Amino acid sequence: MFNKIENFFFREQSYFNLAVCRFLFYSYILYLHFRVMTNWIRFSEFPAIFYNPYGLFSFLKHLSLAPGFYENIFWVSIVFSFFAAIGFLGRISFVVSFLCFALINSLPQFYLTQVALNTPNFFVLLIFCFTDAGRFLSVDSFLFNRKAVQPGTGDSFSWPIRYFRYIHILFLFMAGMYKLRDSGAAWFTSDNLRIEFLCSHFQRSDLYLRSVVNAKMNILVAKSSFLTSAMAFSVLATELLSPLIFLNRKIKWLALGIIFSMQVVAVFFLFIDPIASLGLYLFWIEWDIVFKRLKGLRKPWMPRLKGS
Amino acid sequence: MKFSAVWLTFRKYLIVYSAIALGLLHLVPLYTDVRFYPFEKYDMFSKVRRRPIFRSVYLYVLDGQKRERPAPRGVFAPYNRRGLHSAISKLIPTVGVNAVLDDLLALARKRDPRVFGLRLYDTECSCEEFALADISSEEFVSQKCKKTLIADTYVQ
Repeated sequence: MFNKIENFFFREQSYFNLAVCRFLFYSYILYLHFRVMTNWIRFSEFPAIFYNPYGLFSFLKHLSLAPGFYENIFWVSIVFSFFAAIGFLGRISFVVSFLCFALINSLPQFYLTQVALNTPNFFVLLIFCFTDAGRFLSVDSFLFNRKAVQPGTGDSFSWPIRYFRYIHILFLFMAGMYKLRDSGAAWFTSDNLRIEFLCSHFQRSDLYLRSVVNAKMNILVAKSSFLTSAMAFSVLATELLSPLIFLNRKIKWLALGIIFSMQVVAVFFLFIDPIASLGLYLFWIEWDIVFKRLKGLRKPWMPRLKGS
Repeated sequence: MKFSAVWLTFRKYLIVYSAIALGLLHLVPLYTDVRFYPFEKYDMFSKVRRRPIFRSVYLYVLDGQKRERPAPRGVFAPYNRRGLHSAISKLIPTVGVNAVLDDLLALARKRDPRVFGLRLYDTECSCEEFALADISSEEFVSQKCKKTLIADTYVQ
């Protein structure tokens, strides 16, 4: 059993994947921060409790935090996310970026935690702090390690990618478990999803998505309780069966397609902002193979992959 | 055994067991009442909603381009949506539906002159859109509006 787990996490892989994922994921985090910054006015309606962090950061309540404090944190986070994306300052940029992200997301009514779930990104950023993602294909390697021999493959480049995939599936699976635990079969046998569709149509305050997705589809679908129950069952089944993706490589893309389409449907029917979970899909793509196919030939700095 | 080999083995165990621990950590808020960051708002749709919580009377501001947007905060103050509903429910038996809606429209227009219409949603999940002219007609009051509001009052 442990051998299988070991094989899953530590099967050797090129450093190229992790470096590309580092660049893309931190660029994505950068985009998330910019998106919040450009919508800063949305915070103006939030009550005073918004400025009180909770959880691990609740000790900050005792400090007199001005709204400007969080704006500064945002800027620090943006700068260090950019550094992490280009691989500058190594692990320091990962750690600072994670701490800023965690602090911002610990606010009770933070925009992104209200309209979407940021928890997977929290863990991905945490895991990045322990990886060697910033060592190669980075500004650091160019400045300080230029003459060093580039590594080909190694398990230190493979386990973070596999860990992120595991986090992605774990969160999907646990979402299904939460539904089952909180509501049981009533989640799909009752009118639950039908009511959710109606409530999202009439009540969701995420006006940006509502204006983009000018949807009355949820109203149309909500007229049929059978259809909504079938949709609810398929969502629950998809979430609970998502760990099967690790058992068979052949179904990987099919399963990912189903999971992704589930999120797209949620945009149209529930107006859920999918942006906070889109970053996790980056880790499923074999970037070295993609680049190789795009370029048509293998570059000297791209290592040959085992089995490719 | 060299230190590096020990460290590599230890690191492998650390990674695998941390992954298992992360999975187990999710079970704590699942099976207990303990909620902790970052698991507080884990799945916002996990709990079944037994009945719609939207209000039957839902007022929209329709601007010049006919774009639909909810009334800005403060337009219907001191009525929030819940208060608005209860105010309507109390007033209907005494002054009638038509007067209530006129009153609401006047209130809304006083706060925001762009308001020129109302939208009413009933609990049967169908929605009806009415222009101002419709609201003042007898047919509307007797047929649709009264039925809608009474149905909603019953549910509440």
